[in-house]
Amino acid sequence: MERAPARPVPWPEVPDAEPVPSPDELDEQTLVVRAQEGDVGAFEVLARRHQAALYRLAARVMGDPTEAEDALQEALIDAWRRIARFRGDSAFSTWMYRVVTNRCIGMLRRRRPVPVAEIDDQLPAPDSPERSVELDASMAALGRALRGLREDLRVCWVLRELEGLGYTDIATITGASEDAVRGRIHRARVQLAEVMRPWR
Amino acid sequence: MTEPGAGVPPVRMHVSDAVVARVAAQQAQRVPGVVALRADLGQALLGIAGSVLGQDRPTLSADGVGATVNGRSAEVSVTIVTRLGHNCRDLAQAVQREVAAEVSAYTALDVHVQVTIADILPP
Amino acid sequence: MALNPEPGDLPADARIEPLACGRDAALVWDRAEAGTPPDEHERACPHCTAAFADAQRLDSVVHRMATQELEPPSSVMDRVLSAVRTELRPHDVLTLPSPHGPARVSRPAAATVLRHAVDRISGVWARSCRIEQVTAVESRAVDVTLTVTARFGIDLTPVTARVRQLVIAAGEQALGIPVRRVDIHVVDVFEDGSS
Repeated sequence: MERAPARPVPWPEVPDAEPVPSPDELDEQTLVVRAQEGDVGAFEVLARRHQAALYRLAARVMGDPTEAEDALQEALIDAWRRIARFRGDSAFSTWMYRVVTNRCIGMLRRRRPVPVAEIDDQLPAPDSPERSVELDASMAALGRALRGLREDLRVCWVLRELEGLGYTDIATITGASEDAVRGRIHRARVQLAEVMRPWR
Repeated sequence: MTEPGAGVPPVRMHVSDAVVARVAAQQAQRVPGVVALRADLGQALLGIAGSVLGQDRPTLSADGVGATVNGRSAEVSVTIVTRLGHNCRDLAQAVQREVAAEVSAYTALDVHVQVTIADILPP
Repeated sequence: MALNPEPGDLPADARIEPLACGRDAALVWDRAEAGTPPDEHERACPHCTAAFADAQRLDSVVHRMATQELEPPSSVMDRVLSAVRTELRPHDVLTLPSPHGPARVSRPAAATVLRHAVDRISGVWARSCRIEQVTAVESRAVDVTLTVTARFGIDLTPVTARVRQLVIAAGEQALGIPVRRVDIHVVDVFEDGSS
């Protein structure tokens, strides 16, 4: 039985080429086009660049690190499948925020609603591992208060107050008008402030 | 198959699709340059298309290899992943030759192998 | 002041109620958050004063939350990449020359190989890489159309010639497919230090 060897082939010689530069240095537009054409390496660079911000959004909106990880994971896979449809009308980060936001809202709506009294009981003990997400008591209280907000208010508030996005971007991300976004943020602030009033 | 002798009934050997697929998978993984087999969802859903014998019976391709035995022939489909540094054409041909040879030696079937290189991983 | 409502607006997105003193509640909040000192009315008005206090109290804890670093575990990216890599586009393939029957290679994988060949050239990055197989030709030759971004100020003629050379070489050596044509479109420029 003849066996033909398949030896590795030496790479073509390019005398004045630099050592292969890492795609980490690539500009975003190049990365996006590559990812749209199926280059997983380019998609990986994009995902790594944006994952911290997207995870923060998911963590603050979901109020739970495990659900946030699920949301981020599914949103990134979503993004890969739909990236051909990204037209460049908005920044890539805005588009990614939108994918994560939609995933989180879907998850929130499917969640069994927790009665307010139970939310209070769920405050973790001061030295429990869950508290690693909330560094201090008032931040823990804010986190709980956030979980009590209706999802559309919560999303707008997080995008504005924690992610620092402008009203135009938030409108693009949520599909609501800038007027509605402004209103939701205000309503969220008022509700949160009321819960936080006993705190110094 | 054994020769019919006096009073001895002839033995007919049937080889199942699954056995052909297993042998093919094992051999394919031994070809230098094959990093892994990869399950091909498209193949599993649509069946192995374009065979010489016009066979379109869908076969399970969960491990990157599908096989259909039809009489004295077998159609095998292999999906592999390789790494940068190997010539794809040479690799594909090597897989075709070696898998066909091994399956044929094991089963006495006439084997046709289709290869798809699904991915070329970074070095 | 009313902008056009979007389809994404909900019935609950009604106008914000003004404060009891008539001031725009959102405006007062924005001013408080920005650190603007309260004006004469705001200093005297109990509603505005309360709004200011609420805003400032919230602001300090919000700031702490906003500056807290949260990182996802590396397992998320691992799972994403593993899922993404196993999602084949089953029929987006190029034919490899073979006397032994059908042999194919994923077109996106082939394009990535060609792009990486171009990346090795200083001063140019490959962006889009379209590969079309010329079906009538028995050799299975392909035509490649590249878009690239080039460093500002480089001499494009020798660089694009080298790009062409490397793409043809990579086609033959890495893929085993002859490259008949390489069309290069320079679509963007970058400065040294960026990209």
